[in-house]
Amino acid sequence: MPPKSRESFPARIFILSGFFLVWAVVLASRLVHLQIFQYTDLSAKAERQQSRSFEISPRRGTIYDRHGRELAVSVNVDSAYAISSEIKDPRQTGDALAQALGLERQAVLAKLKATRGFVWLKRKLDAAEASKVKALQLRGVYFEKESKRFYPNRELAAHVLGYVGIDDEGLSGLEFAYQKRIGGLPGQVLLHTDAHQRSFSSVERPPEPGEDLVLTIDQTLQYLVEQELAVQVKESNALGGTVIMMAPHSGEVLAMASYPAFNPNHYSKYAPELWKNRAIVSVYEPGSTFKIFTAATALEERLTRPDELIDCLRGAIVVGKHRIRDHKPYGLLPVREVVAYSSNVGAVQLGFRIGKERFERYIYAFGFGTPTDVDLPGEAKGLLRPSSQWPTVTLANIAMGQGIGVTPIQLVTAVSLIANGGHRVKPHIVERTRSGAIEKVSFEPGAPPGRVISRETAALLADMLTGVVKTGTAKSSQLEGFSAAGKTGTAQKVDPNGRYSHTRFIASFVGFAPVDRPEIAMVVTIDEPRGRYYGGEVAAPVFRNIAEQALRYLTVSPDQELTPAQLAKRRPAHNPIPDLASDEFEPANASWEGSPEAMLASQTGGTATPDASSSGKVEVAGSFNRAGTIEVPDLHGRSLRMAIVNLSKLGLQLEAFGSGLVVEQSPASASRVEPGSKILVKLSRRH
Amino acid sequence: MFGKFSLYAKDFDWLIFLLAMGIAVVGVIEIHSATQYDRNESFYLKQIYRILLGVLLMVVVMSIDYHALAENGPYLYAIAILALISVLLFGKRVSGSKSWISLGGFFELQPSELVKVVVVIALARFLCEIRTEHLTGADVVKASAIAGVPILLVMLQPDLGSAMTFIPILLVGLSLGGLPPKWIVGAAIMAVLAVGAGWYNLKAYQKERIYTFLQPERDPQGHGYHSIQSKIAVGSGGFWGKGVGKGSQTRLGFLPERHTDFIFSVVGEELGFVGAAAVLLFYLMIIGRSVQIAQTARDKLGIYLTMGAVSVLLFHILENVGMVVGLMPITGIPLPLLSYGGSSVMATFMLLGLIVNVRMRRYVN
Repeated sequence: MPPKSRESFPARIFILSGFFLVWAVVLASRLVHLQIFQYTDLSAKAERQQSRSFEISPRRGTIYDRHGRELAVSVNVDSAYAISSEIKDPRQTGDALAQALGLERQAVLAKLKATRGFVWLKRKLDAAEASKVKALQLRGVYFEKESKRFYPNRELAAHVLGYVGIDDEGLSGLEFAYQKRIGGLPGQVLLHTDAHQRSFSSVERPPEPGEDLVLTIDQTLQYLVEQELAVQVKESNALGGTVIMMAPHSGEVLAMASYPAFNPNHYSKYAPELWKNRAIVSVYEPGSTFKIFTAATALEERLTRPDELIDCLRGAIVVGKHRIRDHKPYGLLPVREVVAYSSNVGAVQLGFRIGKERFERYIYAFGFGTPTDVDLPGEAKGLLRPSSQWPTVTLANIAMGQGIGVTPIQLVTAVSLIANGGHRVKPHIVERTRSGAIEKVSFEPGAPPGRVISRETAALLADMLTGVVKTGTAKSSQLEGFSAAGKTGTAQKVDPNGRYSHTRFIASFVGFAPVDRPEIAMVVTIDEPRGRYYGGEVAAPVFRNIAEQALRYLTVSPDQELTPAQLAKRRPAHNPIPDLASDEFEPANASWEGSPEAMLASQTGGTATPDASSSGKVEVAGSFNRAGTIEVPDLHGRSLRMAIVNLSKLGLQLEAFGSGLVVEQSPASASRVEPGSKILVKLSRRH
Repeated sequence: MFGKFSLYAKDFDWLIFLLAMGIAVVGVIEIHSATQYDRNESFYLKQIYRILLGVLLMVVVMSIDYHALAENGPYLYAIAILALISVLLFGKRVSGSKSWISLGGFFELQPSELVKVVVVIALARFLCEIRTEHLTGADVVKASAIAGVPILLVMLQPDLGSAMTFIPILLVGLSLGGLPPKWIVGAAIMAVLAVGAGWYNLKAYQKERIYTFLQPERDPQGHGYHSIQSKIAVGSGGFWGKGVGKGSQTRLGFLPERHTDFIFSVVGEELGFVGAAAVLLFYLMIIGRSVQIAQTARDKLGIYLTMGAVSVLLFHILENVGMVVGLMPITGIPLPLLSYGGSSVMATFMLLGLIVNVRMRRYVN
């Protein structure tokens, strides 16, 4: 080859290589540009088009009554969301969605246009909506299971349970108070979108279910209480009312009702006024019911005796510039009758004997003036000024139940103290919490209950209050077959001008039954009854109706012979306790349609009837005999009530000594006895 | 025989071989990563077999003295043209183009890839015999014809992208052969005119491609989609990358043709700047080494062969990587050694075989 030509090659190769090299440098700098300078930008873009994350609500803990019946449950329902970028024709899709979901056309369209990505269309759809949307098979519309709160008994215990918002957060009642325990932890769902705009979700963090609550509330008693309260409020054209039933030895709230009620499944459709739990937030002047505590203080301080005669000054006493009157002029009355006939003049004189500081101390000791710390949110503490600021007339007023504000829960807690022999109890509603198989006792009695009044004083008061029921203002609270103790009250409400009203009253009754071994303590208040307004006329019958049925339900042995008059007018069981599983139970009617329960049923192909197992049958008292001998059950550690329930089911009788839980029994368990035999048990309150 | 083996052992270019194998291994890993959710086929295994076959072909190509190869250039060329014609006649139509020929239903071949090797040899053989300082007009026409026939046949498939890959062989050959300056000026004018005339003859979709290349964001879901997604993939890889198998763009299928033409996006996403730059550096070292081989070649034939092979490899690399990073328009040109595809792998190893061949015979014995 000619040398000339051979030598020109290196130069040409060099030029070509230089050209290539420039390209290589350009490519490398492009990489630097993309991967280093535009990194943040481009990875954000990648993130945006690939995934979105959103939270899903965890399963909320179930709320059970004391017998394991469901009061609040969570069911899984569909929530619909859209990935806007996948929707080709937002207008058409929006129209279809608006129609299926019953939403505003414009609102849906606005949602779809607001973002290119994830947007909730409607959460917690009912069955009809969900199936409609699913049938449309819209591109870019997806479903996620979310947990929806459902109250199968509707209004039942609504004020106690409370309600939850759209994100399943407790907004009121126990749902609010125990939000942290029953709420669980929300899970994180990551939604991936692939290039074909197919989305698939992956659970980044599974939601943690909340704990279950087991209440001290007894669904049957709650239902009974609500029924009777509603009937009376309607009959007396009152604004409302409240009843609390408490186990006086333990402070367990067996039932707590406020009327008017609301359906927590649709709480937002009710006026916020109806959401409030009167039992713990309404503060009112207790009136005559407070005389119990005036008398209790005077007796405990040995300032009087039940049969000491008090001069009731023919119906009026002058305190400073004020004149305090009785509704009837009384002369000399024994203290027990001062209480029975509710003499203001008598009570005022007892109040003067006690004096301001001492009375104040007792009032606090009974639990007034401070919240009871029942496990419900928003409890009022009542109104009680320090005694140093009391003019003399205030002392007089408080002695007869005015000039002090109390809540129904305070009142029933204080009366429980008298019922149980003088111990303070802490009112509570949640008995224990459950997380999977782990049970936790929620209520810790803590320090041994403090004694406020002696056993003797309590007994004297119980006796006096029995007299009120037998012969005094509360005769209409007399029970068939059971002894009862209690006191009526008719407090004047305060008019806007600051004076006591002569037309607006709060009729109330506090009491307990049976007297010797009280199983229930109760407070009844009726707000502004029209027509008859005395506590004895309006509130006491509610107590009677509830207590009679409740005691039979609790299989408490009757302690009273029926009087001939009672036998004569013995009514057919008025308002029988409903069998909650039957159709007669109101919520089982047509109103079930559209409820989550119905959706659940339709999803599983079943019919929309309430779950019989969740409502539970009421066991009506009564024993049945079996042929041959009966094996005696082990009663150790049971409450008196449970012992009676157990034995009466087997057709055995019980004789009890002491109070508290069973520590001894005779004959021993597993021995065999004749039907109808008596089992002796010893109860004790030891720890 | 012994002499021949010792020749291999001593003069075999281990550097090029190891660099090539390094890139191929990265390719296998990333093909596996890009197709890990595809249950129908195990692409990476197939790729391994093809690489092994490619290495075998490389050994075969480098074993035959390149003078002998050039000697048989016309026959090889004739076979290549026949192959391209038979593709047009019996080829399998894949996404609109007849580029594939099925060999017994078991093995599918894209002859245009292999024809590149033949064109390199044929052009080298033609050009090395020209003794003048500059090429004459007749030389240029003849050389253009040698490259032009296969270009025409590939364009008929139609596969414009592949057809274009022959042009660099011609251009590099002509540049080395020595174009008179006036020719270069003339060619430039012709090119401008051709582009102008060509523009009116381009089909609408081809015009659209050019528009979207210049401005991909004008149609992010359509023609600009590939380019945008590729840039997102590479960019989101960042400096260190997301890790092998963790490229979300890849995994979620945002990247089109991710194991073939856009494999470099996967490298960029999963191995980051570090990985992408390393792969580019490997390529550059192979090219640099090849240019060095060209400079020390025994004769002009060696220079033409080496530089022809370099031009093919380089064009593929620059166009493919340029496309991935959004600097070049989108064409279906694979990335040598990295992209999934048997014909491309085999052709690449044969080109490397040619280069090594020239190096092993650089001394006159």
